[in-house]
Amino acid sequence: MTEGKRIGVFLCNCGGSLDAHLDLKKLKQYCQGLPQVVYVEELRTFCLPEDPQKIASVIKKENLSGVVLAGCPQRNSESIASAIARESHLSQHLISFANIREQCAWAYPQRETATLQAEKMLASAVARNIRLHPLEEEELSAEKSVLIIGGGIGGIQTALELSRMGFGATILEKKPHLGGLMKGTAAPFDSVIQPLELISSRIETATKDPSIDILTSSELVKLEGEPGRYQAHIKQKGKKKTLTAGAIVVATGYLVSFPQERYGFPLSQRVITQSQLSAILADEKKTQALLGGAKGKEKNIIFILGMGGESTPLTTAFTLKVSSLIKEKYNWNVFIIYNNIKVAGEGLEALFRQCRSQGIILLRYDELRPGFTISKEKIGIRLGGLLTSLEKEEEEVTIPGHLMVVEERIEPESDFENLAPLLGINVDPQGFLQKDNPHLFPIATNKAGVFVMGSCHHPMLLPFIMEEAAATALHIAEQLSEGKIRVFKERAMVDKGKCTLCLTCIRLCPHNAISYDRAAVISEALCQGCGVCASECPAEAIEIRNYTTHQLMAEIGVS
Amino acid sequence: MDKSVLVIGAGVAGITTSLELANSGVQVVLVEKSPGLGGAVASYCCKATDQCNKCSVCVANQKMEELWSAPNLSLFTNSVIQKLARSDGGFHITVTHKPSYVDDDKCIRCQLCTEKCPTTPSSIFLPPPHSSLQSYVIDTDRCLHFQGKKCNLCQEVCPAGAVDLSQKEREENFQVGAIVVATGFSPFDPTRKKRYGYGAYPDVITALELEEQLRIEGKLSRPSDGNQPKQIAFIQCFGSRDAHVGNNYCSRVCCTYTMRLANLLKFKHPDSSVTIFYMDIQTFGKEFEQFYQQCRQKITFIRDMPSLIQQDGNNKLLITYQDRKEGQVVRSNFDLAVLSVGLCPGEDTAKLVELLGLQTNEHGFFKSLSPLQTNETEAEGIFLAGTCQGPRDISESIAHSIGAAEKALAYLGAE
Ligand SMILES: Cc1cc2nc3c(=O)[nH]c(=O)nc-3n(C[C@H](O)[C@H](O)[C@H](O)COP(=O)(O)OP(=O)(O)OC[C@H]3O[C@@H](n4cnc5c(N)ncnc54)[C@H](O)[C@@H]3O)c2cc1C
Ligand SMILES: Cc1cc2nc3c(=O)[nH]c(=O)nc-3n(C[C@H](O)[C@H](O)[C@H](O)COP(=O)(O)OP(=O)(O)OC[C@H]3O[C@@H](n4cnc5c(N)ncnc54)[C@H](O)[C@@H]3O)c2cc1C
Ligand code: SF4
Ligand code: SF4
Ligand code: SF4
Ligand code: SF4
Ligand code: SF4
Repeated sequence: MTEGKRIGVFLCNCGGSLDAHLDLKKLKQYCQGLPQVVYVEELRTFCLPEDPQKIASVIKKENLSGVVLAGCPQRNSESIASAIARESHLSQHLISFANIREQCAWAYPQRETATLQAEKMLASAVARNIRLHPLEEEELSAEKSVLIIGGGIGGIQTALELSRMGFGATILEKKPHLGGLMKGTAAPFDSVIQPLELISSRIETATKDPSIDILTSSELVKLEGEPGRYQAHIKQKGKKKTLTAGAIVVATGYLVSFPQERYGFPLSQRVITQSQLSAILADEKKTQALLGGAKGKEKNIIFILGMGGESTPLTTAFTLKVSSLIKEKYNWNVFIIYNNIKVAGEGLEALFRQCRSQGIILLRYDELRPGFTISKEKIGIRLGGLLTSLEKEEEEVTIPGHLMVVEERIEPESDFENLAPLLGINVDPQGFLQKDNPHLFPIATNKAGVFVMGSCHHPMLLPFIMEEAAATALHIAEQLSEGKIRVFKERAMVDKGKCTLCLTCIRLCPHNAISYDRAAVISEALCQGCGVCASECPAEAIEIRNYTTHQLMAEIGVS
Repeated sequence: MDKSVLVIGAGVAGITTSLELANSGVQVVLVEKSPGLGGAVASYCCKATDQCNKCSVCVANQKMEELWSAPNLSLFTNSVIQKLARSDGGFHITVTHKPSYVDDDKCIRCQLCTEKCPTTPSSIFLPPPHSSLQSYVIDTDRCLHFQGKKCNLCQEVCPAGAVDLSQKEREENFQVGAIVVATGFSPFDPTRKKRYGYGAYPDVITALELEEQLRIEGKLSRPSDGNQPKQIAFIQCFGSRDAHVGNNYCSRVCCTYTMRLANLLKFKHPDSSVTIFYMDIQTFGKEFEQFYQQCRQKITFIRDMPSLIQQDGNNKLLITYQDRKEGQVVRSNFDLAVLSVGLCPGEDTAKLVELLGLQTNEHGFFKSLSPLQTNETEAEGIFLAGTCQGPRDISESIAHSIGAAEKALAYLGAE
């Protein structure tokens, strides 16, 4: 299998700078004597845009079956290799690199020693290259439909975008109706976005769309399969169903709760949450009963931010908009008591200023948390060491209030504990979906073909949710286009004879790519070639392509 | 219909958009006015301490590298859109490519030209090591030759004959079906706000300069004497949330980047003390709140915007602020002050507004069609990606750019 290879070695002199440190002529001769090396050339560079093409034409002319590029440690080696591969039709995995600059030229002050070291390194690189297997890509057929878990604005918008791109989508919602958090939010998100109107119109469009299926009162009970053909087992009102989907989108949103222990007092008629206020505002009568009829009388409403945990732009947006409304329409005195005002969102700083100029009183507390006295008749808040936005220092003020609105804590959905392992994706320390990994962010997960979007991975403002919906749809479209998915063949291979079915690899694979059936079975579509399984298998039953034990030994053996 | 898209600007937003479009089989023309790729991110450092702190800079770098091997892509650096006309439902564009004046095949990177150039800084130089363009360029705004003077020293001194000052601008014409604008932001101009002494005192720097220093040198030294600063102050909201300079918005990214930088400095130089002067701390996004709480353990947070920065006789900075707990004005010594510059609309915004028929919003960024349609504009076939539409961090810019690609694709498909 390793016979009859035609290896080419390209020595880069880094724009002429290596000559002083390395005897490149000698290296060239040396390489020509290495086994199966049929071509050696010295190049000025191989990192410039036009270089891959030059190298590719040599590969074609000399009919090379393996290439070693020796020079500096290429930051972009992978892209160079893939560019050469594309131009030459040689598999990218048969192109390897040797760092003779840092590890030889610069590491040894004497030219002779450096050259000698470079010889060793090149010999080992060639030896390894001879034994490289081309990693083959394979096209598997893929289902052009997507399962979306969660029927809030995020899930619905993703379904609409997918439908527009020619994909089918099924929305799985555990509640009896779609809409998520926005369904219960009556307060305007800004001058343009009326959440109830927006969500209702999206629900209507989605319901009418023939390529969107909606399953309410439904839950996922089991997920099998791999990207391109996931099998989702679903329970709808006790009935079981199975669905095939090419990809999974998780858009399950978040929950809110009132952390009483943080506030030290319970909810009551005078102390309500933002969600409760929002629900009241959705109802004209209830709103009148609560806020109307204040004519002539002094009425105070107090909003508290940042006591249940750090505040967020979502709750800040709500507070500022509602405050402005109550001040303007019902003429109450409005107080907003905050620690950090979260204005990191479009238009929020301007709104904050508008509130101030409307006469809303913004009071800032710092480490000293406010004290409360709450009785049936009134609410008193003490603020000590006060930091006011009026830039004035006061010892302590007491605000008598008639109504207090407390900020809830934003929490991950309660069933993520079940859902995350079901899907094979991980959660962050707070319990939101998908650990923070900038390389997966924003929407990919540790499991291929499963995406997270919207407020289930962290609470986000609506415009960002819409952006993620478009991004998710496009990524899915790229992966499943034309009903096919490209995977690497046999990146990790199990030797069935050696496997003792100890399940170590199944437990450790970070991408949940391994299952078993008499021996461990690795899904080519899920495996990312990370090598964890191979390094941990006690029976040494797993080999990773291009890093087989054979190759590693070859490399060590020569140097 | 032309299945091709013009992307203007090769920052992380433009690069991401181009990659997504190119990978979807669309022909992409990417036009960048500077010699290098990456935009602002090209000068940022990795903020990892003993762990990754999720600044996303490496993700942006990786995208830059992916660009080299992307199919269907024509990249024009050093180029600007000269003319644009709507035609046949698409756009006819003329790109002017400024020559580099240095033949990279001949150049041996000997640096002689840079050393001999009479201007300071030198007008002929290799772009910083991080930008993926690795050939010498001439800044024609500085170069004497292009200011009508007689100089051609670099051409004479070059041993490889690589410099050719007689090269001419080149024009290319394209027909595209859609346009994605990704021209990014301008950092707030620090000279606009005099009271912090930027420009007057060398040890008052911007966060951008700090990023660059950490990226290139890996450690921190004071511009005035090269010593490692012991007391470092960051000043937040510099040029943001400030009606006096007309920026009535929060820049969204500076609280997070400052904390990551402060944390990194504390890690690299444990004996130094770091203070952050702030109004409100913005925490949003994944796991950032915990990071903030950890930062509070090792960094001093002072809630006040200093009124003045001066330099005393001992080459130390003197920062005047109000200690609100004590209710009095305090002056403290620092070795280095870092101004956390905000994101302002890109410098070419006005030009592009005219060229493309776009509008700007109340803060001067490009106006999108609606608050929920942040990629679309009122101009048909023209889309927005990244910070040119409003402040965003890298990962949000990436999501926004993928969205822009999706919108452009749908637009091309619908025609
Ligand atoms: C009072 C209040 C005021 C707000 N104000 C603003 C504002 O001014 N501006 C702004 O931008 N945002 C605001 N928001 C936030 C905004 O409503 C949310 O960010 C947005 O609704 C989140 O959308 P989503 O689709 O990600 O999640 P959600 O709307 O939460 O939808 C998730 C859906 O998934 C379903 N689900 C969960 N788990 C499962 C499961 N295992 N299986 C099946 N289905 C499941 C849920 O039932 C739900 O229907 C506010 C929120 C509240 C509560
Ligand atoms: C000091 C500082 C530190 C930061 N640190 C972080 C961090 O750690 N993590 C993070 O996530 N975010 C950080 N950010 C935010 C980050 O910089 C932005 O999110 C990101 O750079 C946005 O990318 P962009 O492509 O939209 O814009 P830009 O990076 O500005 O790119 C725009 C590109 O367009 C080009 N261009 C402009 N006009 C034209 C024209 N007319 N024709 C052709 N080309 C043009 C420009 O030359 C540039 O290359 C930081 C910001 C600052 C100021
Ligand atoms: S770790 Fe090795 S022996 Fe154990 S199940 Fe996996 S392949 Fe088989
Ligand atoms: S190499 Fe092994 S551990 Fe890594 S993804 Fe593939 S199967 Fe899982
Ligand atoms: S650049 Fe940022 S995201 Fe990447 S490793 Fe460094 S700290 Fe982590
Ligand atoms: S012509 Fe003169 S000024 Fe211009 S780059 Fe060359 S040496 Fe510098
Ligand atoms: S992100 Fe922080 S520093 Fe930047 S403008 Fe907003 S509040 Fe100020």
